[in-house]
Amino acid sequence: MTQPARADPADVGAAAQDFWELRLYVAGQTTRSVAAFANLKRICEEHLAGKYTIEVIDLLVQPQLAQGDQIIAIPTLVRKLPEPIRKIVGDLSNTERTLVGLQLRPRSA
Amino acid sequence: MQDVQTIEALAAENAALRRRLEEPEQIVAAIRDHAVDAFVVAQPKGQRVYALEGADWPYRRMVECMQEGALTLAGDGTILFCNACLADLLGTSIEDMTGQPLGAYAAAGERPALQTLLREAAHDVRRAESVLRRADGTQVPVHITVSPLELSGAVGLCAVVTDLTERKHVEQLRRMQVTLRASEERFRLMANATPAIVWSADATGAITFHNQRWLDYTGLTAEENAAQWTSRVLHPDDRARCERAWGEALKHGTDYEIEVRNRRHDGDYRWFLTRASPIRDAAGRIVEWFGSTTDIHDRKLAEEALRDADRRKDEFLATLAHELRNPLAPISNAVQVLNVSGSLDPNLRAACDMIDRQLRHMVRLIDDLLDASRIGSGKLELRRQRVALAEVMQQALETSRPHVERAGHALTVSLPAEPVHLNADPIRLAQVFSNLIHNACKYTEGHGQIWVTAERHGAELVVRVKDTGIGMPPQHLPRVFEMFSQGDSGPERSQGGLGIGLAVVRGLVEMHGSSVAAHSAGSGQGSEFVVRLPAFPEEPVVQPSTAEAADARPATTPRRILVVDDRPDNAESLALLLRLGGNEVETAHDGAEALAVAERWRPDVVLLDLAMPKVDGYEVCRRIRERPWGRRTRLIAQTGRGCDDDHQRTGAAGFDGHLVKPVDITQLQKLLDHPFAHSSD
Repeated sequence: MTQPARADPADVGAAAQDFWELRLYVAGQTTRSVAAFANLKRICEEHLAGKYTIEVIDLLVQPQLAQGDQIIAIPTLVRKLPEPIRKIVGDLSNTERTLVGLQLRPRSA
Repeated sequence: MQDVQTIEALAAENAALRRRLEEPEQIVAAIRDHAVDAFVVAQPKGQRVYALEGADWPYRRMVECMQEGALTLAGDGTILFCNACLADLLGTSIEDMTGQPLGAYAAAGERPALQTLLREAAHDVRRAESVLRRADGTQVPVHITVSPLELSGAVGLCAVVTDLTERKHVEQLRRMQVTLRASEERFRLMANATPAIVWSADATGAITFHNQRWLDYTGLTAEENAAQWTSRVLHPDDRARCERAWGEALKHGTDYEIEVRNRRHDGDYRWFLTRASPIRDAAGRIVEWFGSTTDIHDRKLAEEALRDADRRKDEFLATLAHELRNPLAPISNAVQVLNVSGSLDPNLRAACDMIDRQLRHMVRLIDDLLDASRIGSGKLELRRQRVALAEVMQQALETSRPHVERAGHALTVSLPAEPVHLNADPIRLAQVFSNLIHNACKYTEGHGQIWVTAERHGAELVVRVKDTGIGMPPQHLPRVFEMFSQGDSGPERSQGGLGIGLAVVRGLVEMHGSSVAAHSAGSGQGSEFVVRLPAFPEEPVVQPSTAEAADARPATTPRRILVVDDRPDNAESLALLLRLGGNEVETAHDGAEALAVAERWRPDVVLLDLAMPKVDGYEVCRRIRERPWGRRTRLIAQTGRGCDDDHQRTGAAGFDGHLVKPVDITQLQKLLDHPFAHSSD
């Protein structure tokens, strides 16, 4: 998968990408982990229906996997695709900020 | 340039730093917003996760450990978390369930209701029963409680799922019990509404139920009845029989049927017919008995009355025959006296012959009547023995010859060339054939033809008695052997008889295990009667010497004869007859006198009437036999009834012979001529 040449980090066109590979780091069933998953699921269904996968990684079970994406706080969502990799920390309860973080919406500021 | 380059480089560095700063800023903001609750800390031994919410762990453990399914759901029904119990219940894993919509686990048709439940639960707690589908497709009935759950900004749900499989089973059982109770109740209502008496018993035979109708009859309460009915209701004389029969039915699992008397509330006993059948389970074991008890008192009384009437009829017939025979004895004796005296003028001779014929006919009618009543009541016994057909037939022809000759019929007899033997009572079988010949005589115009034909067909002997007589219309054939049935018009109506000759034939033939059938082509076409008898397999038999039959009658030796009869006419007429034969005769009119005369006079022969007042013939016989001289005395019984009982009893009592009144002088002579058994000892 190739990025368009003039693709800017702030490019709104990211939503037009073919496939979204998302990875959610959680710590068992902590409230924020559960909430993050719920929020992510909802947002994906709304904006990326049919073209995303969510991989949930429980760091309580596999703490060593935190190293790869250099996870510090939990929950953290990592956008693996489309590139570049982007991280969104938190339970994704602020939908607006999540959409901006995923580059599904331009920064309003 | 350097400056420009420197500025650009600085700007780029600035942008890179900003981007790198973005993550820490996000983390800080998230911490401040309470959007994160765990951290990864790098430690010498590797990464370690610290959760901020340590206080929640006991609750989490609890959720994991509880025996009910627990799950949290996003507002749209997506499963965010579920415990192991729920995953087990649905036959899948926590990992597979997480992220799936709960609706994916609803059984077919349950999804809409489940979605409604989740939607409503966003506002308030909702409870409902539903059916979930396991991974293997089977269904699980469940109870679901769903509550709204505040999930930092988003509305979620938490749910508890209870497996109802067990509870459903229990409920099903309970429903079955309710149905069963209702059906029992219906049975009871029905049982109590029916006019019949019905009851049930358990497999051990203990009464479990008697309906109201029974309680009304016995006047007992249900409790009294259950505990004491056998002692308070069942007639004491029927109790042992009833308990034995019930025990047998229980032991063998067979239907139970008995007639017993049951006590009514007012103390009267009535007859009942009780029947019961076992109810079995699928394995064939008896689980219960159902019975009915029917009042048959009136029927029973009617039956008894009928049996009584029948018995009285038989007794009457026997008495009638006896009473009719008695006056015949002296008449017969008198006729024989007249005959023996000889030198009668032709008119007197003719009159004498006529009296003799009519007398024999009357004796025959009375005998038939007596036989018919005894066959009907089963009192007649056959004395079967191996007997030659020829002998039987000869006896029959001897009896019938006067009738045949008088009517001027031509009688043709043809028997098999080889001797045929039968297992039969010779006297009774001869009676069968003579009755058939007599019947043929009666229903054939004068100078007709009668054929008696016997043929052997394998193991069967077929005897046909055929005539050229008036025959029978077909509709009469089935009834011809019934008692008192007669042809419409016999040519000799004066000799019409009682219509019992053929009834006696059928009775005797059937007692011999044989059959008789009537055939006729119609009125005026003659009749044929066919008797089929089992024949003995024929082995070469040494023909018994016919010397006896061929023997010339030995000259009669005069004897001293005592005639004992309580009817003087009988005694005197027989004495007269015997004196004419050259014998010395004395008479006695009761048992005591007979003993006195015998003691004084020592007769060679005593002709003893059996039925006498005070000392009867049996007693006289016994006492004479006790005397030293009495052992050689020939004792001959004479009786009014030709009962088998009498024959057997006289033989056992010590008599040498037995004659039926009226005494036939030739028969008596035979007995007198026979070598004296006792004296030859």
